[in-house]
Amino acid sequence: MSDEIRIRSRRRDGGVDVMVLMLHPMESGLRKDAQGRPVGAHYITAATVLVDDRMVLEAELGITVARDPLLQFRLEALPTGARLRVQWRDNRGEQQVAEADLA
Amino acid sequence: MTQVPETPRGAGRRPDQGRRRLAQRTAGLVLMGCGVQRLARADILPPVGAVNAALAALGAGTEAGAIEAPERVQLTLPQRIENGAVVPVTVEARLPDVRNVYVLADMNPTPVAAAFRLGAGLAPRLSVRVKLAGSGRVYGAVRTADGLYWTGADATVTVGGCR
Repeated sequence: MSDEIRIRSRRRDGGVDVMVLMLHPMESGLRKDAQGRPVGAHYITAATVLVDDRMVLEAELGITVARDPLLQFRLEALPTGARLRVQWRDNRGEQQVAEADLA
Repeated sequence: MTQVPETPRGAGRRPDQGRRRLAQRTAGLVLMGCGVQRLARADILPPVGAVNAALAALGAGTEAGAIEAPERVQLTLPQRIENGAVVPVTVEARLPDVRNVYVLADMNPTPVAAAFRLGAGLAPRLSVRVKLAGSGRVYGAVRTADGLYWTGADATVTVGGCR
């Protein structure tokens, strides 16, 4: 299931640029389907990024974050081979975790 | 919902008023377009000033409070947005010791789209993709130990982002 979180990293100018893609519908709960039935809210509420078990980014997301949230950020001055861990949970209590070695 | 007398678009109003009204109408239309007339009311549209209140709240507890600082906070988003469902927004700060980054939008049902807490080693630049319900104003804000520094930019949205 870890393909529901995709992590890409690229070393540049002494730091590492990171992209994290979390596959998730991010339903606001304000929308109706083609049959006119309300589509229930289903969205990531929190995502956390850790490097070697140290928190580097905590994100509070909500209904106005786009489908398949993409976070892009830059880590300064990291040793090569650092391990990145991403975890999220949504408003229905579902959770996902993924790990990747940074560039 | 406060009734706004109908006047021809752009006639005899301050640009900001016109923009806000247009943003409100657009948000309502967009929601109706998604088949949620029931919800297209003032109770889910942010009241005018919701973003200002949110910025003030985010700046509370800091020495200087919320400060408009376009020279220290850079906000990047597309000039014209055809699809409001996926709008890339980047907030970058030229400030030391940035602890939090926020993305806000005044046309959305919830004014704060995303809030971030930055740990040590993270550069003060973040990108996230948000939905925009219609045209309006998008804000980027960063919090340091001293205050909340923010800047805003107009967003022109062709099709609102609730699909």
